[in-house]
Amino acid sequence: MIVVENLYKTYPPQKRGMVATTALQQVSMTIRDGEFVCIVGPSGCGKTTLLHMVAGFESPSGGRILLDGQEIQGPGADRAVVFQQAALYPWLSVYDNIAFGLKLKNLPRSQYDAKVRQFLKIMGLEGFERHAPYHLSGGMQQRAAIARALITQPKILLMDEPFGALDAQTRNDMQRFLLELWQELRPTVLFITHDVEEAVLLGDRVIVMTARPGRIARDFEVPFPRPRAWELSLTPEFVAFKREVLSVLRPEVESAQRLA
Amino acid sequence: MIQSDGPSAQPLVAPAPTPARPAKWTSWILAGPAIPVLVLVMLVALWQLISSLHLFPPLILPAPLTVLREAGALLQTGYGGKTLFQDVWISAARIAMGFVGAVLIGVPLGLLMASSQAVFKAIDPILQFIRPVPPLAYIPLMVVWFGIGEVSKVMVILLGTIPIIIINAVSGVRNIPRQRLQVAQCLGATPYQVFRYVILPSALPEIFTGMRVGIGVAWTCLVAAEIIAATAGLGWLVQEAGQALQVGIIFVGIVAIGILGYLMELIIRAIERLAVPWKGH
Ligand SMILES: Nc1ncnc2c1ncn2[C@@H]1O[C@H](COP(=O)(O)OP(=O)(O)OP(=O)(O)O)[C@@H](O)[C@H]1O
Ligand SMILES: [Mg+2]
Repeated sequence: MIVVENLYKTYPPQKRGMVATTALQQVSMTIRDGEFVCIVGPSGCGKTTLLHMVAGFESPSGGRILLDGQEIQGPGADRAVVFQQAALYPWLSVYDNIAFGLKLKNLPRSQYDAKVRQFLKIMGLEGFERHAPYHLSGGMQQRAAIARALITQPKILLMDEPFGALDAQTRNDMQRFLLELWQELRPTVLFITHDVEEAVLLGDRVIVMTARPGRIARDFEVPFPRPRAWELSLTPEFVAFKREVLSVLRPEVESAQRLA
Repeated sequence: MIQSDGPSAQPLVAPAPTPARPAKWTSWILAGPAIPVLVLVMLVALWQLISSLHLFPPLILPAPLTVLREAGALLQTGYGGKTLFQDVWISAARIAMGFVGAVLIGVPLGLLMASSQAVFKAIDPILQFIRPVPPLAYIPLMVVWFGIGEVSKVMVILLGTIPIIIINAVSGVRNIPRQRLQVAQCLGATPYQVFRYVILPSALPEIFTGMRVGIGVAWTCLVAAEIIAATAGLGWLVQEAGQALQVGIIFVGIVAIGILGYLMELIIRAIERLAVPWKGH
C-alpha cells in the first residue's frame, strides 16, 4: 500500500533573483495493492515530481510517503519506472536490456534465460533479442522497457506518460497489452498521462490534479467492470464519464495556461 | 496466459532492394575516388610544369621526380645516419608512449572528477590553467628538466593531450541522460554497478571523441618538440634538412608527417568503431 500524506515539494530558485517553485502542495492519497491509478493534470502541475518522489529520486519538502508503513529512503527494486522515452541501453542487445535487472543480481544465465525468453514472447519481441534497441520501432522499444521493468517482479510500477511518444495505433495496442499484463501480474500501477480517455480506459481510479502548485482536484472511481475492451470507449456511459472528468480538468488546464 | 494476439508486433520489414537503375555517370564520379585522384594528379603536373620552367632555382623548388628519387634514397640509405623508416619508428614510439600515458591517466582522472565534486574542485583550476597554454610553450621547460631524450618528448605530448582527454571524459559522464541512471537504480544496482554498467559505457563515445582530437594535438606537439630539440624523428629530419637546404628531403618529411598523422586518426577511428558501435544512439 502506498500512503501519501500531506505532501509538499518546493524546488529552490534556479537562479538568483528567481522565486522558488512550489510543485506540489498538500497532496494526500492512498493506493491499495494491485490498484491501477491514473493521474491527469495540466502540464507543469507536478505529476512527474510526485512520481519521482514515490520512486525515491527526489525527497519531499514536507509530508511523507509510506510504502507498507515504511518511509521511502531512495530508489529500490520494489518500484520500477517506465519513462516516456524507453531509455534502453544502446550498448546492450534487446535481450540484455530486458535481462539487465536479473544480471545485476549476478545470477548465472541459466537461471534467468527461461524467464527472459518468456518475457520476449509475451512482449511480442521474439526474434529481436539480438537486435540493438535503436533498430526497433518506438512501440517495440517501449515494450522492451516495460519488460525490463517487470521482469524483476516489482510490486509497484510507476509509468510517466509511457505511451505519450507513440502514434495512435501503437498506443492503442500498448494500452490493451498493458491491461493484459496487469491482469496477469497484478502490480500496483501509478500511471501518468495527458489523455483522459487513456486514463479512464486503464484505471481503477483517475486522479485529477490542479494547476501548479499541484493539489488533488478530484479523485474519481472508474465504474466500468474489467476486463475492459477498447470498444468500451464508444459507449455512452464511457463518454459521459469522460465528460465528467474533463469538466474538472478543463478549468485547471485553462488556469495553468493563464499562469504561463 | 496473455493472448498472443495482444500487441500486434510490428516486424522490422527489410526494405525491398531498390531495382538497380543504370547509375548516372555523375553519381559514379562522385562516389569513386576519381575527383581526389584527379586533383592530386593536376597538382603534381602543375608542380612539374613550374619546376621545368625554371622559374625558381631547383634548390628552392625541386622537381617532383627529384623528390621521388630522394625519397627512395631516404628509404634505403637514409639521411644523417638514419633511414626514413627509423625516423618514423622513433616518432611513432614517442607518440604511443605519450598518448597512451595521457589516456591511462586522463580517463580515470576525468571519471573521478565527474563523480566527486571535491576532486573536481581540486583539479579543475590546474586544468583550466594548462589548457589555454599552447603545448609548444612547454618544450623549453621540458628540455631543461628532462633533457633532449625521450622523456621530454613524452612529457610534451602528455601535457598537450591530457586536458583534452580529461575534459571529454568529464563531459561524457555529465551528459549521461538522467533516466539511464534512474533505471539502473530502480533495478537495485549498487553504486559500483551503476558505474560499471551505465556510467562507463555511456561516457565511452565522448572519451573516444577526446582521443580522436587528442591524437592530432599529440602529433603536432611531437613534431614541434622534435624540430626544437631532438636527435632523431620526423620533426628532426625536416629541421636537419632545412639547415642543409635539402628542400627535397623537407618535402618527403612533410608528406611522411601528414600520412602518419592521418594513419593515427584512422587507427583511433577503427578502435572506436569496435568499442562503441552504438555511437550516436
Ligand atoms: N529539478 C527541478 N528543479 C526545479 N524545478 C523543477 C524541477 N523539476 C520540476 N520542476 C518544476 O516543478 C513543476 C512541476 O514539474 P513536473 O515535471 O512535475 O510537472 P508535470 O506535471 O510532470 O508536467 P508535464 O505534464 O509537462 O510533464 C514545474 O514548474 C517545473 O518547472
Ligand atoms: Mg511530467
